[in-house]
Amino acid sequence: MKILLIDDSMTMRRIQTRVLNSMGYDDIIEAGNGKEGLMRIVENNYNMGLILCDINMPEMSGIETLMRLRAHPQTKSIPVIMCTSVAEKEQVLQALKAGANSYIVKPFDPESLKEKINAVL
Amino acid sequence: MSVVDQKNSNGKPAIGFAHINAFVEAAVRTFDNMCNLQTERDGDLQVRRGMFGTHELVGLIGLSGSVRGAVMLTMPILTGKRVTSAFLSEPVRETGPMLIDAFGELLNIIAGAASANMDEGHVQLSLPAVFIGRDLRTGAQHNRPWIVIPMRFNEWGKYNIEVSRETT
Repeated sequence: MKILLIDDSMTMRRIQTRVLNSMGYDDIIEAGNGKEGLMRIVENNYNMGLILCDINMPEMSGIETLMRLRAHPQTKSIPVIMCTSVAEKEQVLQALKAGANSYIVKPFDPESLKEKINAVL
Repeated sequence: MSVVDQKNSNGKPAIGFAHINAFVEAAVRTFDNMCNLQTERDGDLQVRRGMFGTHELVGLIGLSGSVRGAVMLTMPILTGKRVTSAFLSEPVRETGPMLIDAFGELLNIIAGAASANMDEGHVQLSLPAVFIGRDLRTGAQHNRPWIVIPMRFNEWGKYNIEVSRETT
């Protein structure tokens, strides 16, 4: 199963990759913002089993990315977990309304991320 | 005059205990959850005006919205490498992109968690910037003071959280 990580922080992508690898997921694709993330999905023929998406990013925010995903017939059912800092809790509500399956708030420990991933898969 | 009595140009407190605690709690929780590191306050608050020196590794993030100002996380480079190594679960040996990105992300998480606990409405954070070098000096607009919160890691020594802000 392919998993897409959309985050402008190289660090967060590395941490998330490490958690996913420890869960047995090795087919990880990375993108630095929403626009790039949508391109990666198209390049992979819409074959994506899960998306972890940051909210506050340059170029295209996580919320706009999510709205575009939910508006497209080939991506509207892909599970999406939004990843955000506490300060963006209003945006978390916005993300859930826009169709996010779940969210995780930084700072988080690896076990919390695993639980969120297991819950949506 | 105590730190919490310091006034900005608009006559409002430069920073109160609630704000100081918000940053301390955010740092403690972030380093514990994401790095498995224990950290605590290390002495009295300091007020600095004008230009002053920092540790060699400096992360800076701007605050806007209901709170205007800036937050810095500063520590020696060796401590920064140890902390970011714990954050990434892999060794950070070079003073390069991995150190800069991880250090900036740690500050981003701390500032985000702290601003959420300030109970002053929506606070927007700028993207973090990281500076490295000896003899770095910082100042703030309109001679606003920097409130320095001395902190320490149980194993790896001292660092600072430094806050300059005004309430709109």
